[in-house]
Amino acid sequence: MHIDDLARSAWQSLVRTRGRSVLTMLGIVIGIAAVILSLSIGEAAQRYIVSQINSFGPDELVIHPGPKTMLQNPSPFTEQSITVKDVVRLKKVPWLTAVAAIEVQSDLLQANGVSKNVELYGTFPDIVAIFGSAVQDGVFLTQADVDSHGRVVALGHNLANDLFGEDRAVGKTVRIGSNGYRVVGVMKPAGTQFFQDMDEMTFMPATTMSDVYGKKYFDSLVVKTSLPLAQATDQLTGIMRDAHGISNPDNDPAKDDFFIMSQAEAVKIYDQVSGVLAILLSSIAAISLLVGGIGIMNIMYVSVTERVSEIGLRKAIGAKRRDILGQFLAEALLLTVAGGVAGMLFGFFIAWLGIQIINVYSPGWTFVISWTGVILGVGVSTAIGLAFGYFPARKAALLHPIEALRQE
Amino acid sequence: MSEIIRVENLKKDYVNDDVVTPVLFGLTFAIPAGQFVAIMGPSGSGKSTLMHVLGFLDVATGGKYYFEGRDVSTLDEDELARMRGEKVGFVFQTFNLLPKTSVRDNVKLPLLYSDVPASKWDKMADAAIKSVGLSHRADNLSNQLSGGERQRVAIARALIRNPSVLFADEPTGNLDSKSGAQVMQILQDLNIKQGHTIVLVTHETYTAEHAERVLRIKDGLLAADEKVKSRSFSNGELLK
Repeated sequence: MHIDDLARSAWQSLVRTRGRSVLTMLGIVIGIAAVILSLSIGEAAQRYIVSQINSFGPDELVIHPGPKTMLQNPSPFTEQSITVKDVVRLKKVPWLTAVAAIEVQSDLLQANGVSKNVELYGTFPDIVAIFGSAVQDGVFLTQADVDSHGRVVALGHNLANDLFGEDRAVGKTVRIGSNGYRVVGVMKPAGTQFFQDMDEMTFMPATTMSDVYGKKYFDSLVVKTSLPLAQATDQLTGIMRDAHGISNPDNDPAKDDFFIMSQAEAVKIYDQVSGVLAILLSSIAAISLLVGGIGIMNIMYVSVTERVSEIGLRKAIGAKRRDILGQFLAEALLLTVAGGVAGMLFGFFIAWLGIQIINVYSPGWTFVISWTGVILGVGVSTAIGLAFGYFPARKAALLHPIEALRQE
Repeated sequence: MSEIIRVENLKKDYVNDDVVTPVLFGLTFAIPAGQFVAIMGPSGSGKSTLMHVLGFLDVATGGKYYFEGRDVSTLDEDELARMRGEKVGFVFQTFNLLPKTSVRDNVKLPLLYSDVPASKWDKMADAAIKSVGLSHRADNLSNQLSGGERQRVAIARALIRNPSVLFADEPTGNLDSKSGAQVMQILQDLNIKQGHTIVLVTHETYTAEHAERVLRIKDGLLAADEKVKSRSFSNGELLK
């Protein structure tokens, strides 16, 4: 008995009971689709995160509030510790080429008859150097704006477009919350950086934000350094400890009220998080695969019982045990592999669709076919076919021809 | 005439949970090539068991069985399967066709377990279908056929590998008298015109009389071995 004859024979058997074959396959389709979906979204998330973190330059360091141990024991009550004083202090360090702290706030912006919920970035002029962005029209926030707590804003490219269309935004007044602000600049398109859509952003002086929203502490402080990163991190740690009056000769991170991360470290942390997430999602998907596999086994047992007389006939016309075993295994394999391929296509389609939808809210996500998913999908569905098809097939192969023929 | 089948003191016991039920108590006879033999007996006589043993579907528990001079008791499971495929063909009371499958595909089925290359299958199947007069039905599905036609398909399937012996187990049992007569006529033609050796199992005298020799089985023993004196030839209805 040749493989192609075997496959054809198995195919004919499945077609004879096509309704049931399709239903049986559905379990595998859904299981594989779920695995593919979680892998694809997981990988896309990872790529997105890495690309976002990479938007920070390799010569940049981020100072976060709270001791570093907070990363292991996240708490909603982040220790607030970074203030405008730190910015002033670091500005004096000669090997720091740019220093900017960031605080984020959302509020309703109204201008030109349009109302929009926007993200506000309270920050400093150096942020332009750090993000590598530039103004298209007008000027960015200046040190004078920061010093004078000026009611001025710079608008992201798309936001300005949405509000004013063809009209020039610079010089116009926008209303944010209950205060009026003068637009001083419109940014060039910059895309999504560090999870924020820069083109929808409103920048205002950190001092102004602190006045209006009562924010005294910053979410993070970003610096650009001309020293090697390791050396810069050491020195910065010293400066910050001095500034915050922390004595920490043992370098115990729990004692600090800040921590410094480089781009590489951030990538590592996010990688871990998204890796754990992917494992979690895949495990849930794997359960549905298991259920699908048991469904296959169940149906194969039913099929063997139903076709006892067919098995008897096949034996009577010369089928050996291994021919019968092969026939039923081939049927189980065809079901699972066909289900696996369909599930893969379906999973990729859903993942692609999902990423298109995510992109509407958070641009910068890309869909790429996960080859891990393809290999896993084909491999797992084959393994399920063999594992869950074997016992029913063996039962069929061991049937005595007489017993089999007697049944009707 | 050369002998195809020879059994000597053939015994068969069924063992079920340590309970031994003897079915055949020691049969001795021979069937020469080209003969049309009927094995007759009431139900429970052991005639079906005898056919199963002769057709390699079951193995004897005592005595000797030689097929074309070969001792069958030395064959293992795979060799028995090979003998079933190559040396014998079966026609069952219940036809045992694959449902929702064309006549041609049903007839081809035994070739799946042969070394015959797939390119020859259709031609062989069509020849076998023609020999039972069903060429016009070759592409119909098995469930679109009448009972008589189904049994003729089963005969074509049994013939496709040109076996040494054709076993027919109550082939007319599920048929009306007219279809039954047709089937018996085909079997007789195969025997007389083409020289096929046929072993027919039946409990009906009028069916058995289509054969040239009758082996009567009673309680697992050979009760009589006789030549049919007035052989019936079906060319109309099977007389009941």
